[in-house]
Amino acid sequence: MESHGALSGHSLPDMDSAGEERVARNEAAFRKVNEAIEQGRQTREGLAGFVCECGRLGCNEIIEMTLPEYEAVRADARRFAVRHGHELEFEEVIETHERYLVVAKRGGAGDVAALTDPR
Amino acid sequence: MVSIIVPRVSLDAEAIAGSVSDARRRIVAFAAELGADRDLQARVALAVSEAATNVVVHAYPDAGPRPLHVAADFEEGDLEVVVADQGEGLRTRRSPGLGAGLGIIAETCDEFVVREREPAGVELWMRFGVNG
Repeated sequence: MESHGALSGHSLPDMDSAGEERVARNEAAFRKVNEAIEQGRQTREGLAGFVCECGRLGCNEIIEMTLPEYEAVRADARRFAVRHGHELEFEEVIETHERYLVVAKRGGAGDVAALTDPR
Repeated sequence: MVSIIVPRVSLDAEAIAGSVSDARRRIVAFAAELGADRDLQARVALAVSEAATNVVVHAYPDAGPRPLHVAADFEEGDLEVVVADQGEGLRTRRSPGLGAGLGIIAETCDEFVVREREPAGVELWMRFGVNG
């Protein structure tokens, strides 16, 4: 089957662990989901539901953000929006908001995040 | 005047487990009629299954009507599939939300858009290139 994965066509940077790579792949997939949600919004007003971008297996929780808040996260390819408590040890919490956190990827995971940025 | 007939298929059902396989079979059969190869049929099957399962599992937290709408058409070489519900939409809730299936769908189709419907529900639009 032809690969349609977020990382298809990309050579992966050195990752610290298989777990980090898996998380990076999951985050890339959920970033695509949120891009699809943003594309489907018919208004820029109010809160919109986005999926948590923590990349952990089994996490499918919703976070609410305004479109300007979401755009601010997407402005940096290494940043992701996650629920409180869903930040991981190899991430840096950049911003704390009432409804969500903004985390930044470092090292190889950050490189994967940048490589897979659909924008 | 020349009228163009767009091939299409649709299914309206109750959002229960058995409807997932019904939707998958109908859309995959439609894709096969359009010339989709086995690999594409497998991708369509996976995406439709995940989208319909999301509706069954996550769209309706309460008892009551549970409509599931699945439709597909074929235009300009693309198979376009819509899976829609009339549930709660993309809202924070205590129970887990949309389902990890959306991540799988993101990796499976060529393009997709998630739209909130008025007055209620979510519509998932997916595109698959059939001819290349």
